[in-house]
Amino acid sequence: MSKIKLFLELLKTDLFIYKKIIFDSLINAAIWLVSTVIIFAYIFPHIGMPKAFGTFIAVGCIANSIFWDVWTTSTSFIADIEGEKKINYFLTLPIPNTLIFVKQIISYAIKAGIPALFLLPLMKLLLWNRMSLANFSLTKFSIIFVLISIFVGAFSLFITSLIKSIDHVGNIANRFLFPLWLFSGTNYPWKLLYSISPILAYLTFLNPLLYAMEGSRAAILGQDGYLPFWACAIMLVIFTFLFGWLGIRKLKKRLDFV
Amino acid sequence: MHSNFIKTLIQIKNLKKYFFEKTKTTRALDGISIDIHEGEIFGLLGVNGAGKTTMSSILATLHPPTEGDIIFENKSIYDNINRFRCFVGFCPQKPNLINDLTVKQNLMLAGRCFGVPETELQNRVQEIVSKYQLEQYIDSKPGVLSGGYKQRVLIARSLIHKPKLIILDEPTVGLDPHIRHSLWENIRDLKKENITVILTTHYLDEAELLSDRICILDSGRIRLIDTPENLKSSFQKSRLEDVFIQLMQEETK
Repeated sequence: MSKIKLFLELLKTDLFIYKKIIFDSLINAAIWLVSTVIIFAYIFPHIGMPKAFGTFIAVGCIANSIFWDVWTTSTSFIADIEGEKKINYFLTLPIPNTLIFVKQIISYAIKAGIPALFLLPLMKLLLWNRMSLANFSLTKFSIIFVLISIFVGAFSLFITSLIKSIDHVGNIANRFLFPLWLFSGTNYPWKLLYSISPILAYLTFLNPLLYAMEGSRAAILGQDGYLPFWACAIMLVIFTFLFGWLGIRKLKKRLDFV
Repeated sequence: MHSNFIKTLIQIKNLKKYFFEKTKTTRALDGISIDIHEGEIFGLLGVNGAGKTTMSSILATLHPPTEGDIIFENKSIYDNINRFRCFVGFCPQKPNLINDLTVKQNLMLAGRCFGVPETELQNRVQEIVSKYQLEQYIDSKPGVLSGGYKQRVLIARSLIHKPKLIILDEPTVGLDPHIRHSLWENIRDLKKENITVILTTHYLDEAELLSDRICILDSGRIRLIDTPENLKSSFQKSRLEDVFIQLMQEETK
């Protein structure tokens, strides 16, 4: 069997298994969006927040939903490394071992992306007149959506390589994922942070999630007020390669594969 | 029995595996050289930490050696590792079947991964399922199977592509005696099919009964290598277990 065929066979198997839990994933993503919309679009305006803030936060749910899949995939990979070691089976198949991890990245990307794909139409339904799609670009949205998903796949691998054991999963979330998320601009646009503290704003350029947030908002709500779309896309590509390479390198050392 | 095996399947040359930690280096394998003959059952024996699992993992291409080489068909396996993998079946100590797939799906996946043509795959799965008496569990998930059946599925999975070499890492550990005996029959059958078996075990009765040759590893080195009969006669013992005990006592002295 050719390497590509084997690669696709393994990917197909992953998706076949995922098919059984896809409905759960959709419900999880929908619960997040519905809760966010209720709080930020319908309750917050009563305490003085602008109505547009609800839409702004809701749009961020797409990148958030994909990003938080890192938690699920890393935990499940670590549990496997410490437990059944199914990964060892895949590492003895007639395919370069690096391709097994590239397959993991793609598989994670698809699993993280599918539930988030349904959030945009649901968001429009929930917000209706409060959400304008006048500046929506389908091309840009498709590009950023794929890039965020693949980035999250690579980032999951990197995060897995950082977790010492299943007992340390909480540390990674609290010390790494939450700060990244909070400083990603999930609750504010980057330009607002820049107006308050340019230094802090420049520091957040090191946060890859910033580009996911700003890029997805630029694609859905229009470029005005956000970081340039194409810059976000390029940065996501760079971070995908960086974290993918680091993740595979660290896992090679840890799992000691050929 | 030994003299019947003349063709070497793989040559292990000065194999070393060191694990480097901050303050110490563990020499899991320290210069192992063996020729494994085609069609033999080669028993790897040793106490815990002797290097049995490390050696079988390296032979299964799961881990690289620190030094040394493995020669297959006159070439280093590392020249084209994916080709060598097609000739090997590996049953690890811990069953690592995919629990989200049924037994049949696990076998089908393995077959596809190792390039068994789709036209032959159904028949091959049927054949192997019947051979390992897995018919009643074919649509079950591995999670519901007993330890013995999980081992059978593992062996079946590693044989689906008709490998020349199968590596069984402690296949009967923790199993009931009658299931162990049934698996022994399965292992003997592999020999009849001219499949070379590397059997890692710490059950001495198992090694004595099944192996054509036995290699006793100790702290990553070969202590002895010979047929069970020769080992027993050279130590003037009637059981392999007594040979092993004497060896270990010599070690502690």
